[in-house]
Amino acid sequence: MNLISGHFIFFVLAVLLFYYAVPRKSQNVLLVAASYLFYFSISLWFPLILIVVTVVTWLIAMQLFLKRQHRKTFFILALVFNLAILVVFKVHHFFVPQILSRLDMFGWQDQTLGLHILIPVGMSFYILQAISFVVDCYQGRLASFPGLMDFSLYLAYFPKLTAGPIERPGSFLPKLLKARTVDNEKIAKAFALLLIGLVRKIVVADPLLAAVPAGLFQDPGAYTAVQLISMTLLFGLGLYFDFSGYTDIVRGISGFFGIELSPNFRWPLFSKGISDFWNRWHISLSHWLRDNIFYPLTRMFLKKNIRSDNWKAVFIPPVVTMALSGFWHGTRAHFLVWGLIMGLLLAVERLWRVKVNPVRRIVPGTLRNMGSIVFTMGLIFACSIPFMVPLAKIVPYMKGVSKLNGLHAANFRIFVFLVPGLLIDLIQFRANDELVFMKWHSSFQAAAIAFAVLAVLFMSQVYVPGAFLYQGF
Amino acid sequence: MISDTVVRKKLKSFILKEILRNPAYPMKPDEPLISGGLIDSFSVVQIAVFVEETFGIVIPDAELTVEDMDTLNQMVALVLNEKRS
Amino acid sequence: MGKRRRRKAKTPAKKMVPSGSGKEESLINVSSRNGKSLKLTWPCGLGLIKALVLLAIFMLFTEFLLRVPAIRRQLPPPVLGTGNLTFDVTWEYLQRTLDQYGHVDCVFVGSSMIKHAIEPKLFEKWFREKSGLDIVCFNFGVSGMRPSEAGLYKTLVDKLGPSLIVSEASPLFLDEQFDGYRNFPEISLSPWGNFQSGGFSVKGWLLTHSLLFRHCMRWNMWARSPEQYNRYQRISKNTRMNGFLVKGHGPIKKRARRIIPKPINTMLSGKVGTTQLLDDWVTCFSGETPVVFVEMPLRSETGSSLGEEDRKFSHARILLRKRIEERGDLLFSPGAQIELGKSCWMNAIHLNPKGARLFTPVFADEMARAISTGKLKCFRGDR
Repeated sequence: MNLISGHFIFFVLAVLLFYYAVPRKSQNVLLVAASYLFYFSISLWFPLILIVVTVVTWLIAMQLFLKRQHRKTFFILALVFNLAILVVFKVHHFFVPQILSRLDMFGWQDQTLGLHILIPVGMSFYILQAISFVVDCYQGRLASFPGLMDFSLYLAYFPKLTAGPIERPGSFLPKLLKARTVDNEKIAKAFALLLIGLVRKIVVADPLLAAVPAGLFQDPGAYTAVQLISMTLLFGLGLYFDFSGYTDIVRGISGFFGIELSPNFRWPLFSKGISDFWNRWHISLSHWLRDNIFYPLTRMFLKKNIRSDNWKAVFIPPVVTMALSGFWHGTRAHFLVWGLIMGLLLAVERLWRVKVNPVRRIVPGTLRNMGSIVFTMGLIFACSIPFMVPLAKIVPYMKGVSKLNGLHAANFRIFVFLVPGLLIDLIQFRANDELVFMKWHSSFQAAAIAFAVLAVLFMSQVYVPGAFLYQGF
Repeated sequence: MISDTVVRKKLKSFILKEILRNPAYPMKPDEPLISGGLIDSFSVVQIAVFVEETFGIVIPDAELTVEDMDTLNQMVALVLNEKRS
Repeated sequence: MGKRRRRKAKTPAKKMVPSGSGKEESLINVSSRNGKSLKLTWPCGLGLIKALVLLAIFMLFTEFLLRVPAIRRQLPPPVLGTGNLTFDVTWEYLQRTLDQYGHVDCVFVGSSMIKHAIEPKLFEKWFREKSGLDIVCFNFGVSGMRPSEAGLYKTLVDKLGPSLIVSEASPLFLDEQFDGYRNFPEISLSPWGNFQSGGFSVKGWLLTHSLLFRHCMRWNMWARSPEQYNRYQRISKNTRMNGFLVKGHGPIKKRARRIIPKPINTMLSGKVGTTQLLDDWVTCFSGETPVVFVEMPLRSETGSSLGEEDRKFSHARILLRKRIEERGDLLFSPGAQIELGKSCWMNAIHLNPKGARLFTPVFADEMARAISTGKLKCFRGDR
């Protein structure tokens, strides 16, 4: 079931109807049932894997929570179980075709290994949530242990099932367990988020992504330098608006149920540095990696030497963290390369802060800020090329770019679709409030809603809304 | 029982000397350090390790956040709370 | 009335706490778990209602404004999204013609051949001089039109309520795989075309009823495909308000001969042996409105490589003529009465404006004669 489809709208409305008809104590059960029904509509197999992960993790975590003995053993067991599942699916998806092609070279053709096992949609997200839960249990951060139904809902909750946000048990479980009252204000916020998300996705992302040819990264030699650069930029920006649109849409939908989901983006296009960018882009994943990988590693190195010029502490944690981020996105080598580059950038930025500019005061509105933004986004874009281009195509891609030709062949008009997206981001960024529109005068609000609805209606007919890109991770 | 003044003095000194590398910087107690872009995640961990070594308090990774440690006041309050509990 | 049963007081649900953790506080407020979840008060949704009302007013006002003939004429023609740019432009110009005159008396239908061959203004002028009748004509030829689109074509033409339909008779009626179709998608398969034939879709509805949406599609073309948009602009500029397509080419120069498309006989894929398509076309168009045929001229050059195809085509033309006669339909062949030398042709199958200026009056003359002799009954004198 595509999130932007008549079926899904009907599904959500039906669930909402039942949700408010049943007693509060049955609402979580209803949501679990609805979530699994939604997941079954995608595939018959995916929910079975989720059930296994849910039950096994819950049972092991209960031992962690209740018992004093063998806590470390249970903790490692839970971690290994969840990571093994994630790694097996990711590696199988990548390596089996590679192995098969090698065996084929020697004349061995066995198709039984060739079962094309897809990574279950949402697995990359719910496994991290399961790990968070296990870690919180181990560290004693949970005040009470959830029942199996509530834990199932934590993992399977349908608005965030397919592509996050990655919620932490400490903040999310209480929302599931406490009373939920949905009043006028919450409905208004939910609707605002939903509409903003639809504008990002349908009015901005879909046209931008539709302008990127399918073979751009597979056959870069067929394009001029300006086409390569402009369409890669389109893809990157399209990816941002697609994913941020998805996040706003699911947060809006969840808001109608009275359950608040965490924001995933804080206007990353206005980042003033690399670490600033990673605090603004895919926040739930960045913070998960920061809290579970970066912090423990950095602490370990700093305990030996607390000084700012401890090179091991400066380099190893960000590089390892971002390499793992690359692996999370995909097992292909170019994701790993991308992760390593991002990790090195973070380390170099840290060095720069230590050695060159130890005190930086960010003054809003100055030319320096604009320069920082432009420089940061240029660097991020350039270093994101390995994220988009397979490793085998990097050299032809860079050769194509280096020709510096083809200005006449490029289409810059397509960037006009960016305007509504950038406008929304800018207004929110300057107010530091994603729902700043709700503070406008009612007439301006009405005009903004009217325009947004019209734009979404029209553009949803001009372009067929595609699947969200991050559901592929 | 450690006092607010001692914690504040030691923390401020560490931040100015080791993190900002500018002992003369006029840091205010309610100045946003993380959200203001003066210190980053690495520095936050440095502060946590410093607190652990100096005051014997472990600040969990989950509490190394903007909400808990953005200003000097917040850091001092965190240390004193952890010490009490 | 029976005794009311006393409800047993509910005990708080058991919550698991870690043993010896000391954390006995619960995050759950049990009693409030049974409270109402939805607490909406009026005016809930007032902002949305205001916005929808504003949207409706804006849409109505904009649609009205875009339909004001003086404004409509100033704007570039909006698209229909059929994929056939000539059709999109022609359809818009047809609407503008209806805005101006209120009706269309005579519609020319067929492919780009008739679109280039008959200039309606010239036709109206000559026809008026010969017959004394003042009629409004529109050239509804569509580049890439194929007989299988007859159903849709008829639906559209019927809505105009013309007094006469003039159809081209040309090689396209001999072969569904005619090579000239390959660059033109089928209009009936587009959302707009499908909607005209009764298949509902939101996009089809918007394309049919909303000029604002069609302009939005045009802006999208501008942003997404500059090359296609430039072509669209050229077609708009080269198409007259009465549907006649002018490419602005002069006589074919010697150099231009090298880029003439392949000869017409190679554009036919199969054997020329059946007139089934023609029968289907006519059957589709049959109705109260009389349908007549005008034979499209084909370029012939003695002593050139094109002479050979002329001989092959004489067979095809005979077949067509014979079939039309057998059916009892009227066939005009103005091309047989005039010499259309190479300076009259854009390529092998399309006349240029000079050729149209020669062809059209002869056709108008033939038609006027047919009406005056009673062979053709249409156009009431008081129209």
